Amino acid sequence: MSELKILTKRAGLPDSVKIDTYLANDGYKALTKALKEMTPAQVRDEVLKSKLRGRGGAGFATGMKWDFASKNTTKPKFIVCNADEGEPGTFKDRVILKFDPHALLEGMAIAAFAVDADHGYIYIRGEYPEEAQILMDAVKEAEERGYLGKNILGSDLSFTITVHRGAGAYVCGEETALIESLEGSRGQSRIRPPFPVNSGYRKLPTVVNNVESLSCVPHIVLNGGAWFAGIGNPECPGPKLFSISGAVEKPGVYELPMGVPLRELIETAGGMKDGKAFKAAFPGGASSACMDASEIDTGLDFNSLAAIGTMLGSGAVMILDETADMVKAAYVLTRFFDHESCGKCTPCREGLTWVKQVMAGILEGKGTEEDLDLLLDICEQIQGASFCGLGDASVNCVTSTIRKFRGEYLNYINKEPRVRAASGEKS
Amino acid sequence: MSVQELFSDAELKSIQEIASRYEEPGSALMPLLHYVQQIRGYLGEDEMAFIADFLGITRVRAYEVATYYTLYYTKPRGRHTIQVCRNLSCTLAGAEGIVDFLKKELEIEVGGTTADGMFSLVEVECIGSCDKAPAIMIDGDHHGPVTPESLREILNTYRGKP
Ligand SMILES: Cc1cc2nc3c(=O)[nH]c(=O)nc-3n(C[C@H](O)[C@H](O)[C@H](O)COP(=O)(O)O)c2cc1C
Ligand code: SF4
Ligand code: FES
Repeated sequence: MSELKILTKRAGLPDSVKIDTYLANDGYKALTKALKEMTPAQVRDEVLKSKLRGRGGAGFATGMKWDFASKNTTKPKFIVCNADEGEPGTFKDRVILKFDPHALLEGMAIAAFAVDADHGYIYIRGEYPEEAQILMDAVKEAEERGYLGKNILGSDLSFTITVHRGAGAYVCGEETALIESLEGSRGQSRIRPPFPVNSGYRKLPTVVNNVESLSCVPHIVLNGGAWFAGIGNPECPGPKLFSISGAVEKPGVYELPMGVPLRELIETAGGMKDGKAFKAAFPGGASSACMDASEIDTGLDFNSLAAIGTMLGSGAVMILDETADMVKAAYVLTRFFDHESCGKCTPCREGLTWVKQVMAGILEGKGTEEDLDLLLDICEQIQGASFCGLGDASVNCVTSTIRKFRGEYLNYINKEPRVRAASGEKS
Repeated sequence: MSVQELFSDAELKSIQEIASRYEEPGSALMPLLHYVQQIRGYLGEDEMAFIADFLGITRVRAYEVATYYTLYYTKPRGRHTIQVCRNLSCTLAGAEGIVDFLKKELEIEVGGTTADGMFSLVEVECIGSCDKAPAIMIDGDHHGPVTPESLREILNTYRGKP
């Protein structure tokens, strides 16, 4: 399948971050069209028709979110762009932030028009200082040229954007934790409902959307929702930025239609590294259940992956080859979740530490077969009783590797203690 | 301690400018902590207290926030901080070997600072450079894929930097 050049069409151009490059390549045409030729309801309608689903991980219909937000007339109202990009294996938003920042700004301004919002925030992960500066420079340029600020292009829309840096906490990618963090608190998840569209930043209506979701919007406005809906899997369509890493020749970000089979994504990324055989993939980052070789022809989209018990998430595809150690892989991911648990609820906070310890014991050669049942049991409890998506998704790596690669666990259990044990590492 | 001793006039101006970006005072807390850390290297108690008072929030809140996030440091550290990613794609590409190499080369443990105060070494989770695994960050710069040989050179370039 050939690569698309929609979201990435400007990324390779010289000076692609500059507003002049952007303007010379269809930039701010969609915003102009929306403001001059469309009503907010028409914009929302096109986004609904596009069937765009959130690219941050949860896959919620963007048009629906905007409809909810437009119905709440409390002011002021906010657009918050989630540029936290914390899911391990994800580096696709970075392509837009670093090479096409105005696409995001334009998408946010259109969103503001569509839901009648007053101010925008881009919450960008602390590990992207260079990208944060690029965004700040882009906001300044857009303000100078009248694409952000008061009465944009002579319309009634007044809207500008503040760039806000995170400081290294994965859970702050979760939208309610992100809002807590934006308010200057420890970023811990809030109970939903109320949802941010009704009570978000400063308890005011807030639309939280991912970088890639917002960057799809100018294309939808310019070309129509039906055009967008015609790309890829008709049920959950559109172009998609896949981050692929691990055992492939050319790890990177590839823009392909939703629903591209995993096998073709791997081929696009140059095939398996050193010609090794494919063993497994985590298609949606650390949060997703792993796929094995029998599932390599599954389409990468929300529905097809849900149908085989895993998920697309942010489209972070991590590839493992025949030499990979699945128990070690699951341990590394568990250690990550244990480290990132915000500590608000007990199942996630205590459960993950326990899972990590049992996993470490297995890696050290001290495990028993009963440990596998114990692990599945703790995982079930974490999954059922957690407060936010972090806890829910955290154990997918463990349960899926036990189910699909039980033999590798048994190898550890029935073998001599290993010299290099993972448990000696600090968490 | 008086304000004059903590921050220069120019620094105070920057602090005011950052705070003025937000209607909600609390929202300026994280940007101000970033700023103080950038100019001082870490977040001292007096500085945190000053920022809290300046914003009209409790000091304990500033401290809670500073200790919650991985990228804030409340203790002095080396001039340059090396963050080695230990998440999956980097581990698959040999991140453990990178950590071992750095420990030997710098003669410190993870969490430690070299005797000359030049480098601190920490392990972190995915930094969004998985296509360049094994990846590291030094201060705000991403590097990868790194090898022991390339690391020696990279470290040398930082030895000359402020
Ligand atoms: C633990 C956790 C981490 C998340 N991290 C991110 C993230 O880094 N970026 C993101 O856009 N969404 C992230 N999300 C999803 C957000 O909660 C939210 O659904 C999303 O930002 C909404 O935007 P979208 O509908 O455009 O995808 C995360 C969710 C959870 C539970
Ligand atoms: S599930 Fe985990 S991360 Fe989410 S609120 Fe509970 S403790 Fe925090
Ligand atoms: S796994 Fe190391 S940078 Fe993402």
